[in-house]
Amino acid sequence: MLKLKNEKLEIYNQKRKNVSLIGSLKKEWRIVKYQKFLLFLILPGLAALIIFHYIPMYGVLLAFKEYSPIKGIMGSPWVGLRWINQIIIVPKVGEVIKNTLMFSILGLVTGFPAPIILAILFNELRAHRFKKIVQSVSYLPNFLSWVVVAGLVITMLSPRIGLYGFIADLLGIPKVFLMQKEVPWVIIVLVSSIWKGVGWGSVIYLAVMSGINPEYYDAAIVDGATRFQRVRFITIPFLYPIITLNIIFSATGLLSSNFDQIFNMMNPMVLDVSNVIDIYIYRTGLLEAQFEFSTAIGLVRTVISVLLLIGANQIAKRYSEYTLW
Amino acid sequence: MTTKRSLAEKVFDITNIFFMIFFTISILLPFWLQIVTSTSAVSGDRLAGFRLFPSHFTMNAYKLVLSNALLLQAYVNTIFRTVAGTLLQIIVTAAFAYSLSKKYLWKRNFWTVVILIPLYFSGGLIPTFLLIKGLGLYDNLLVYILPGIFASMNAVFIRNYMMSLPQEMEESARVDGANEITIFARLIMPLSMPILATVALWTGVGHWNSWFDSMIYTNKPENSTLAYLLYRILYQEAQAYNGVSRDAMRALESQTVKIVPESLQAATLMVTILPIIFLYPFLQRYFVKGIVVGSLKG
Repeated sequence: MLKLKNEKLEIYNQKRKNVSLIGSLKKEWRIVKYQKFLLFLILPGLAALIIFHYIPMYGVLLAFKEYSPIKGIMGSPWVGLRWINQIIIVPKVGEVIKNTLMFSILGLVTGFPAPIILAILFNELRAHRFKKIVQSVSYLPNFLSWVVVAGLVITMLSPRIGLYGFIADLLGIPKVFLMQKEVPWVIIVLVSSIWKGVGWGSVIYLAVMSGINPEYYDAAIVDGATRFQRVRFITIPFLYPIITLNIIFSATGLLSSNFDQIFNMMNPMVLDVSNVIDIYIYRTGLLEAQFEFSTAIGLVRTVISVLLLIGANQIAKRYSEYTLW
Repeated sequence: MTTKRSLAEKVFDITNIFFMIFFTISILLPFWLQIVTSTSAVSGDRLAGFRLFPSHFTMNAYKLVLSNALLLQAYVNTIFRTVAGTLLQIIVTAAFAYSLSKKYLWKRNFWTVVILIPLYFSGGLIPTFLLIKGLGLYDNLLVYILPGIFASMNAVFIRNYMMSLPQEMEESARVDGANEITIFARLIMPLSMPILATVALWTGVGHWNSWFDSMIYTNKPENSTLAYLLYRILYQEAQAYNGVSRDAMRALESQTVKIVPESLQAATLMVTILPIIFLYPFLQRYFVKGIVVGSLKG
């Protein structure tokens, strides 16, 4: 059987050190020949990866060049750290980083607990059919694009035809265009992000909860634990590992924002506060055609994110049993 | 095992149910408001405030929207990319995942690293843009399909699922004389249907919702996807109604009630999401199946 053959070949592989280079190449070639079908299956995917993911990676060289469309990326002259230095000099960049951090930290503080709380509330619902229906409805917004969700939000908050206008009239508060004021706009971004993602986000926590052995709860009931004590001392502790892991790895996204959301919700009145790194890269790169500068910002951001990821993984290794590698 | 509920628990249960009802309404109301707006007409010149039911109920906004040739073309483009893009991605990704699921695959760890690196490191917006232009994919409908033909995360999900399948079936198929191709195409792929369905749904929804690639990689209006056309109609109103024929507009305006741009926008939004809303109740359990399987077995 093929599998057995492969296992034998693995043993050959381990002994390879003692064999001459040509001999080992021959053996590699034999493995490749045995596995030609498996290797054939990875070819289309591999080609797509190389063309659309690996080839653009060499484009980051743009960050160190003066791009000339005629000469191409490779032929363009080197300019050293000119663009990287520009990142430090341009005052706008500081503002952009501040905005990005503000959104990711506020987003984390508000958006992280929401699906956990929702999952616990779902778990405590007794009426089964009702629970199923609410859950199904709660996943729906996750499957719509931000173009649509921004449209829904704008209509809901319209002073004239929206629910906001209705409530403001009812309470007699003066109506404004909420989307055009900075602080309300930030709150709208945070809330709509929860609205869209909370239901789907609760799935993973519910999956963990459904894996808890019911005997724990039964034993707690015998010991006289109230419902709240059962949640507090059984359900939540079972969620700790996944919560820890999610918190640690959310650090990786500190410098990233939800481009789709912000792009669809922003308007000329909130240009300053909506200018986050992803938007800035898009603007400088595609709208202002500062290819090199935009690429340099993207590169610096990627490097910092990868460092954060490695750091997060180190911390995860120490405090939790799950790691990425 | 049941116990008598204390007063505090009863209060909690009732509050919880009320919260859930409120939560459900908060999700459904925005959609309802779009339906109301899209089916309303006005006798003056603007819509009259917040309403839970349409004023002067009419489907004229939908007639106008559907008379827009650009919208119909965008619909065709979007269906094309959703069907072709999803099928191709599933085949290419599942094939890769199948090989990765074999522990004895030649250089298995290397291939795993190769698919994971793009998740964390990418060339960025501009280099990708230049590549797309260089490949002649600019303003070409294939730009919607080819770059997404392989998805790393989905490959990991499918691989995990395939690794969880019992080995014995494959071995007995081999004893019965099945060759490599038969085992992959006739045994493993059908057995992996649950995860393939889930991943296909995610990918399909992603295609249906895509607008960014349409915005940066296409220029001709007839190459637009539905979501990007909606973006233009919602947020760049002025140029958006080019596609609505003048005659159709005038024919409907001669009546005593008028259609306002807000109704047209709402009708376009509804037309864009209708396929998802209609299919969602039937497909939603498949959406969830995969995330649970994939994440717990990883």
